[in-house]
Amino acid sequence: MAGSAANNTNNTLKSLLKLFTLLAIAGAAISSRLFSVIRHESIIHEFDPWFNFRATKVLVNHGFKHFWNWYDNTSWYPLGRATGGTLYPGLMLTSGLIHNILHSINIPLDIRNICVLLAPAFSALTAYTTYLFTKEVKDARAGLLAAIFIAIVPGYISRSVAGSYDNEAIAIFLLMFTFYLWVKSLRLGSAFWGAITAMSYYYMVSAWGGYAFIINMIPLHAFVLVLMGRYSPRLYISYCSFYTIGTLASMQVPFVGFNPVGTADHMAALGVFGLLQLIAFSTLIRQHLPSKQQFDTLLRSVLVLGFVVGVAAMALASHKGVIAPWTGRFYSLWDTGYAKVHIPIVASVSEHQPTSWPSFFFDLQMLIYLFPAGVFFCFHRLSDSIKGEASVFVIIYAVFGSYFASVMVRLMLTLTPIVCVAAAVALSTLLDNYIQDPDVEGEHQVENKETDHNTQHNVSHNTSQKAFTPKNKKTKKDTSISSTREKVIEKMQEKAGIRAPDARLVVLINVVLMLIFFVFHSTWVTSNAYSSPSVVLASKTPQGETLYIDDFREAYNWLNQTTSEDAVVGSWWDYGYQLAGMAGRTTLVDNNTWNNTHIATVGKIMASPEEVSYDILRKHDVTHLLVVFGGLLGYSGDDINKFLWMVRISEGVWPDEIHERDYFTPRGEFRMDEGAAPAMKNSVLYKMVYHRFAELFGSRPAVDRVRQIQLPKKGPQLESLEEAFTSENWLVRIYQVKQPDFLGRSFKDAIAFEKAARI
Amino acid sequence: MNNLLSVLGLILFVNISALAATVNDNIVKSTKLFHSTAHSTTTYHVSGVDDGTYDILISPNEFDQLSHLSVSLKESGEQLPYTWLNGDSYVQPYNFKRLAVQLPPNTPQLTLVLSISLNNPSTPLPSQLTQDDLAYSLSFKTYTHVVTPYHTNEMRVKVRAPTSKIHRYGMTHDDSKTTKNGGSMVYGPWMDVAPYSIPTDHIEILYEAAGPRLKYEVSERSAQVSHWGNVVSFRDDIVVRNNGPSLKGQFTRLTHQAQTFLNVLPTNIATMLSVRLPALSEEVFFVDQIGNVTTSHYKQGDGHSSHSLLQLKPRYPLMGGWKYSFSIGWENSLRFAAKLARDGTTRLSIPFSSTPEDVAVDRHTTRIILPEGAQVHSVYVPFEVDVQYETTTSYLDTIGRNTVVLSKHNTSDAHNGDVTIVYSLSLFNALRKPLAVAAVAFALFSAATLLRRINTRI
Repeated sequence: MAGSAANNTNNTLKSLLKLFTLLAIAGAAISSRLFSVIRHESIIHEFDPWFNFRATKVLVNHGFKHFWNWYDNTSWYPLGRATGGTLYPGLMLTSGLIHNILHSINIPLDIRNICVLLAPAFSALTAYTTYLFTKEVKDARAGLLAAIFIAIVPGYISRSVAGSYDNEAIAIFLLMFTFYLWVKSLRLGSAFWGAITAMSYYYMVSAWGGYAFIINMIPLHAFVLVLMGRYSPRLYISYCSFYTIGTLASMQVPFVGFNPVGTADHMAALGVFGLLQLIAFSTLIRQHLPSKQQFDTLLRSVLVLGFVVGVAAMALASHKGVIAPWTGRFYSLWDTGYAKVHIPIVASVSEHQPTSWPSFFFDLQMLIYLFPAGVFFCFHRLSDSIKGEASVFVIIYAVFGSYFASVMVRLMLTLTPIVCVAAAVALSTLLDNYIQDPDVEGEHQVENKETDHNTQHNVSHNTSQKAFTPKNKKTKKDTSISSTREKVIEKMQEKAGIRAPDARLVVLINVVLMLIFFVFHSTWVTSNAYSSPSVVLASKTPQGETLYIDDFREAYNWLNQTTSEDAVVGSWWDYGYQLAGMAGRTTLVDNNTWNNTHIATVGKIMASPEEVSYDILRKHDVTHLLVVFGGLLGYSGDDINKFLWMVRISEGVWPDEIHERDYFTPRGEFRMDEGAAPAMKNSVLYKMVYHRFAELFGSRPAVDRVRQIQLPKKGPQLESLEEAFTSENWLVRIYQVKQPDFLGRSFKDAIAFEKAARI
Repeated sequence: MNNLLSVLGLILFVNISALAATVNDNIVKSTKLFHSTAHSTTTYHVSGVDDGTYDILISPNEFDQLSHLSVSLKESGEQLPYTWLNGDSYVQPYNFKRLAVQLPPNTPQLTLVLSISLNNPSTPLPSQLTQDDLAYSLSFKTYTHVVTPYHTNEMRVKVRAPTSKIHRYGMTHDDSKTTKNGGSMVYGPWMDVAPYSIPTDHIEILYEAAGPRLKYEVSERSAQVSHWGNVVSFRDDIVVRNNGPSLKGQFTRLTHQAQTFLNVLPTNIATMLSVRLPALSEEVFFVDQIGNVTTSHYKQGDGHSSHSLLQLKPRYPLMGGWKYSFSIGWENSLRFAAKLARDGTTRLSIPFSSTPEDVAVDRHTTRIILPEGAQVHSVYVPFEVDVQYETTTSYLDTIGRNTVVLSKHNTSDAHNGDVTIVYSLSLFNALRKPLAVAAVAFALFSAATLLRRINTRI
């Protein structure tokens, strides 16, 4: 009795310690994401978050119904966009819900602040979920390590700093939560937890297009388990409850609709669902058939027939077009060159490029070399009858996550959680061996095994599965042999070898140093690489003062305050969301890139000579054109550097009118200076960017700092456009489209006439 | 006085006989012009007052532009009460407005000072300017006389322009009695002017502006008082417009940068706006719809100076006709703003506005949000305003906060004076918030404790 009481207080102490550790981890996760708020302000970052923020404001200001049916006629002018049905509403609904709850208890927090701080808040939840997940794979010690890793690892922070109000902000939490629930429901074999998994999956579907990863990972896991001969009723129950409820639920999201039953991306899940039915059916038959041979024949014929019928049905459905084929974006995952040829819009985005080697180290630091070790230890744990299933999951996830992360920089994000889990497993196994007293550890292991066997026994008893009992015995034998061997080795090593006190000290100091360096590296990367809002640029003057370059907001605010409310602003699609969010003006194209032709139209406007562009501009009611020019400041992400993509995209739609070749000099150079190709010099973009730029330098030669070139003394002449606004550092230039001449002259004639009249 | 015209006979005015005895010995009206506002002081040397009131006429033009008005005795500086007479019996020629000033008893001879502030007294010329035009002019028109219902022995009208670059300053018909010295003009003296004599002649002054003509289209202040935080937090939401000649053609950054470099910026551009905040203001911010404006400067006043200076630089230079909307905010310690009286009431002084000099405000609203549960006893404002009461619900409120809403059409820096509110706050109301939070927290813990003890397992 006394012992159990002591044990009890010990347990309470442990759980209290765990609680405080988790709270500290949550604090670290949140505070390390606040660099940008402290350094700049509470502001929405980058491009997509501005759309999400605008949508959230629509939800909060006009109510759910309006949001759900929201038709946005200020974007994709004149087409408009049925926004309510073409977005993943999970993110907006989450922050809208938080906003409404806070307001109902009279905490009038501004919606902007909720949106800015949503990602850090959810990162704390992600850390906790990763703890739970790793606990399912190994134990609480590894769980805490994994939680620490995920809390501060740059690979995840890159997408979840304060202000980065994007789908990924909550999606990574949901991803890990769904996986945790899946592993847990699989361990318990419970339909209840399977249904909870499905609900979490539903939330994920409503939040991020990356849900496809879940709906392929879980079936794959189930399939691999079947192949490994680890089929169990637990698998059947949890998978079937997850798949049926999850699929039905996911179809409630308007943007997803009938995709879960109609596209190839989701067919693996359906196939595994069918397979599990066949296996379950055959197991049932076996119990009722007397002889083994009869059963085998039946099994084989049914399985083969089922497989053939299933594959044939799917092939037919694909052929007939009932099942939509794989989307182009999906192909680009398998063939890295695919996007460049067939969907230049996808390829033009920098985050869709293949990952470079240093960025793995940059984003994951020491975790990247602990990661394989962790996967190795997971192979070790496969023999564990229950937790082995979670290990299988980790291994599959690790393999696929690594592949996807190496194909696209952006998918580094999905790899990061599993790297943290695997690294935590590796490090905690190391620490287990070097910190814990071997005796205590042995006891613990025995305890563990006992409980495991108990549950296993219960399950096998309940379902009376004889086939699995012999295997069990085998593993028992294996473990008893290995444990006696371990004991012998341990005794030998007590005095010298790897368990000697000095050896332990060396390893532990190493681990502690590694962890400390990891913290330093993560903080450094977060602070330097991932905490810039990209709306405001900060630089240091030679005196050490911070200089803010706020040209984007200057120009957007100018548009908002001085142009008429029905102005239509044309710009390359990158700035569409920001224009709508900050300037509140109608845009032609934006980051939603759903209509390639429309984007190509804007590309054509930019790439064509003025006479051609002017007609298109008039036809689209464009009043203003916006270009970004970094030549004065040395800002390399400007429109000239994106120009080739504009040309390529519009060439894809108008191959007769736009030719990429024309924009290069005969010698194949892409030049902006005196020797630029005629098509280049006549293009509207070139004219808008360099309009009167040379005059800024007076008598000195004009230099474009991004491309390090000297510009011709006489700049390009604009005829149908006039400069309306240029920001302080010439970063953003806005041009007004002239009305047609009132006498019906061409602009060239009109300008010539004016000039003559003035002399 | 050839060019003076007695407009109407005596029959029009009911009370003319009663006023007959009052005589103005001397009237001097001096008007100081700015770009968006003007301050005018009229001194009346009056004798022979018998019934204790003195009537002042305000021209319809001035009445439309009027933002602030006060009448005082010159000797003592004492403010005198007045009423507007709007009844049918006071129909005035040319729609003049009539003001009846209550004089102190038994003072047959006295000197009255009428000071008025005007918004947008002058019109810009020309109406459009390109970015290359460096200067613009303002035109100010006024009567040559001070119109009064009494006989006047001698009167003068003085006008002072902000610059000495005056293009035109004479009267329309006769310039013989006009003197000009630098930027100051004097018209008169006019001797023996009959009651209600309205001259047909006008003064027109065309002067070159030295700066932009700015206007606040919207100016809304909220001042939230917190006893627990010991602060008053202010927030001003403002839409400022450059009300000068509007920009002709387009804005060119190149020209603007060249002009800035050579220090020859046109007078019609506003690049900076200085707002005076109380000294020791803290937590100052300057934001607009899309966040922090990184171009502002703040000069913190210390204990010695009476104010801090917030220099606001809009994101883009304000060309003619352009507008810019923004918000500024700051906090002041309650120590300087509120005093606890013996009877337990709190006497709170809040500046009505912080309008910079020479900015005309179309309509200003000040919302004073008192602590939750505070009861308002009295509100004192040193000028005419509309007073309304409402309830604001804010952080963790249970019953909402009593709010005094003061609003006024046409204001300027003449209205930067303090509003005084006397209110009381009971101990229970002061403790309401912590009690409410504690009660909810306790209820949550109890619920959690109960739920943990219920076995939900089936």
